[in-house]
Amino acid sequence: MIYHGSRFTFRPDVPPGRRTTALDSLRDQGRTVPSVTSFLVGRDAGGAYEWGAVFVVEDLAGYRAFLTHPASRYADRIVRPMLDASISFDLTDDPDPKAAARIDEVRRHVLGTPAPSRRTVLKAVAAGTAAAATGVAAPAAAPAAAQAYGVAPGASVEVSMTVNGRLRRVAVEPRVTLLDALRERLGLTGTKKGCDRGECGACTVLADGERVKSCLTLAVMRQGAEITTVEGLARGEELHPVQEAFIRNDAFQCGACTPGQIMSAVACVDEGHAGSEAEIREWMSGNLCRCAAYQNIVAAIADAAREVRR
Amino acid sequence: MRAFGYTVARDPAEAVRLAAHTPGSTFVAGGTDLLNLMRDGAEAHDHLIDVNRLDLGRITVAAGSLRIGGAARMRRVAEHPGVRREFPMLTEALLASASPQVRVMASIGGNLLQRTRCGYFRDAASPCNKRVRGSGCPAITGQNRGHAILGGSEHCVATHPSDLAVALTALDATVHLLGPGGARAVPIGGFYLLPGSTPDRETVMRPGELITRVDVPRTALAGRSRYLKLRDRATFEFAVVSVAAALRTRGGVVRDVRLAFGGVGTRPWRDTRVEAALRGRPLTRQAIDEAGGLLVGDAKPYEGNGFKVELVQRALASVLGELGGLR
Repeated sequence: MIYHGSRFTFRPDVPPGRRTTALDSLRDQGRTVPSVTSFLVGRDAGGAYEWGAVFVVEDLAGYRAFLTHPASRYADRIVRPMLDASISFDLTDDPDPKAAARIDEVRRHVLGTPAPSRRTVLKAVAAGTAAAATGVAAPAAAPAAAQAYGVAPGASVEVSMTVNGRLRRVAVEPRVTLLDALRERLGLTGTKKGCDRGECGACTVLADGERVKSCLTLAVMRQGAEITTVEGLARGEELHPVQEAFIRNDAFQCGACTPGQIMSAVACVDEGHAGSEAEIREWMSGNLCRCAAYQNIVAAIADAAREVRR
Repeated sequence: MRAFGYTVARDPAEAVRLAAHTPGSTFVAGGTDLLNLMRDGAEAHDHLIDVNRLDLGRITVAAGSLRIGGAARMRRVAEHPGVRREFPMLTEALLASASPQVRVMASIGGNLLQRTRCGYFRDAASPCNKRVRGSGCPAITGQNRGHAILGGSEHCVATHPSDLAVALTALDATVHLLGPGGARAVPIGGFYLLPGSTPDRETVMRPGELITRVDVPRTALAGRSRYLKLRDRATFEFAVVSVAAALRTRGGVVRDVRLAFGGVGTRPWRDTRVEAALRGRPLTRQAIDEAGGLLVGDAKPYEGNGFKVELVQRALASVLGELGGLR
């Protein structure tokens, strides 16, 4: 467990309504960040500060996910300009003597001053936004966390995604598609680039459980998303029922469209759209096969659907 | 794609403010059309403002109307039980659009604002009045099989590609906008513009405005509706011709009817004269033929799309015959 906490006092000129907004944004943070197992925002009983907030996360991955979550960035941007004084701390019950250093490293990496060449951010936009959103003057040096979501042309931003169950982070320019981030940055080349314009479906992956064309979405738009690629379907040596069915039915020739066909088919079966050959053909229409192995692809999906229903 | 900046907006007011203060910016929701437009050079933007965290994705059946958030996804709207029950035409139009993957991604606002599929518009090397005003229109004398027979001008004959917009036009939807000048509501009938001499202006939206919601009135008529889409292949294709129709009859007489057409006009096409010709009359083949004749009375076919004059009338007859129980 990691207990991430802060104690703070509002500036005297911050009116009660704005204080409530700030405290609510902290509570929203606790409610919306998936890795937070419990949290408390309340009066600080120690005397030195007015308020305190504690967020409990399971492990280092959860801690990183917490810090990089949009709700955290939002709360930070709302609250920070209103504060007179604050301290933050991290406690852990991990017996490993190096645990504290690792937590500190993650915190500094996520919140610390980024290297200018990789994560230069659009300060004007971020600062202007903070001022407009909170109705108070932005601090001279806006906190790094608040800036991370305004990216200037040509600059990169760090994107955290859970890919096949692992938290992965990539620094990308906004123009980098999810497809290119997966293939070129994370080395997951199972996802194929066919047309690169949303027509062929070879780049289909699951994003938060739904099938999407990864060439038609930007990596920066998938901050915090859960992505599953064809590499993430099997459980160890055990293939996914759809993968098994594709092999059983010889549902490919050259194989270029196959990862996309399989990911789309997983969703198609999941959605309950594999009830008949006609239904499969309609609901697999976003995946083209230049070898025209459709007959066997449809048979494989019908087969997999029976398998899953059993 | 050339480099651009990116900002996540936190609420609609902030999104609009950012757009007003960031030169060369536009909004992005699903990005399914925008990314291709930027790749192809049909559009160029210096900055994208992400509107996916604005809580604009809700779909609610309120007292008098269905309310669809501007960032609601096509899949969610199509599957919504209230939409399926009371607005079958909307579900049919959405499920006949794009592919399952794109319907997961694409927003309702983006669907209404998607750009034409005219090949000359999408090809940055071709002249196109819609892309660069005054550069010319190769479609009028070139490849125009997919183009409009109604509402065109000497500057542009491109069709609007959205099926949903056609259905919403038949159902008298209202588009809610938020912009630097505040919020306003525009009836969809006045939302899209004819090309005239400014085909680059497709809607009445002002710079920096965002579609926050689309409202569709709840009527008994909407429950008796259909969307017929004719394509060059069975699925995953834009309409050659489409008809959105809602019909109520009593004793074989048309009580009320709403009709809108896709694939034939430079904007989602509604002609109330066609509806008036049917209202109060017995629904017969002759009445339908006369209504269809009115629809194409002003049609201006080009070399490649003359077949649409006949096809749209047959599509109308087919869908009205089905809704009205004609044999």
